[in-house]
Amino acid sequence: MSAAPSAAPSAAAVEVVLAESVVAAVAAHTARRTPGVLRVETGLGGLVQRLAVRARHEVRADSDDEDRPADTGGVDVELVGDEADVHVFLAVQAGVPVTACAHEVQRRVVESLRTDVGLRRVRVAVSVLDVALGAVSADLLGPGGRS
Amino acid sequence: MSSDVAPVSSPGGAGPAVLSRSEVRDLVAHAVASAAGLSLLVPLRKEALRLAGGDEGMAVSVSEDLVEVRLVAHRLPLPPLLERAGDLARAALAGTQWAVVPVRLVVAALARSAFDDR
Repeated sequence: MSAAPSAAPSAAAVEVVLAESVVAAVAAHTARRTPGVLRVETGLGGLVQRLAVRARHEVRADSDDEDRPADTGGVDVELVGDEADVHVFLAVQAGVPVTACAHEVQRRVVESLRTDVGLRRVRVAVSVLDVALGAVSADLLGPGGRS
Repeated sequence: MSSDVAPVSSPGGAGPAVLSRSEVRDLVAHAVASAAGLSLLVPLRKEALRLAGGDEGMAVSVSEDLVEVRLVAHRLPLPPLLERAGDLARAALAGTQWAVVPVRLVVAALARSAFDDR
């Protein structure tokens, strides 16, 4: 399991260690929910990663589907202590301003990793790998519905 | 080979309760398992052993200088969950010879249900 301590251990202290897959899952979910994002691009590497994560997570065989590990595909994470470098790979809906969408993903992922995961410092890079037709969210469309 | 019971020094009378590592493991596992939004990570390959009774302790490792608990998170945000889990673990260790030993909480997985209300 890839993990990094968030703080040096000390007597009677509680140290928290997060798996990188936990950070990736939150980042992937946040990116997926950003208006204009069609999908998080998992790719072949992501598929292999997801299978490996599922195997590593060692969740109970009798667990419900909701107890299965959250998807982490399409996100690379390097975690050192409570600092993370995150790379998100996306497909953006056609008609959405790509740069604005990527910046919004950056902003939201940074915020969610600070708030939901407790990371102190987060750097997020976004790569838009595809622009494709899909259900277009109006949030990021410009005036008149066009970018 | 280390013994199952850690050495205890209790100058001046009543000292900490002397528990075996397996007792401490079960104590911590039971305490942390009660934290809302978190569950203990149970390896699949240990599933057969679970059927024989009691697998919670497998998520907890106890050594002389560290108590480590492996967890699955089912809710977000994590910081308050982990703070609570840490408090529960520390409370479980209070009064034992592991009272001053650091506790490490390892969040090894995030369940899909963590995003249910998001």
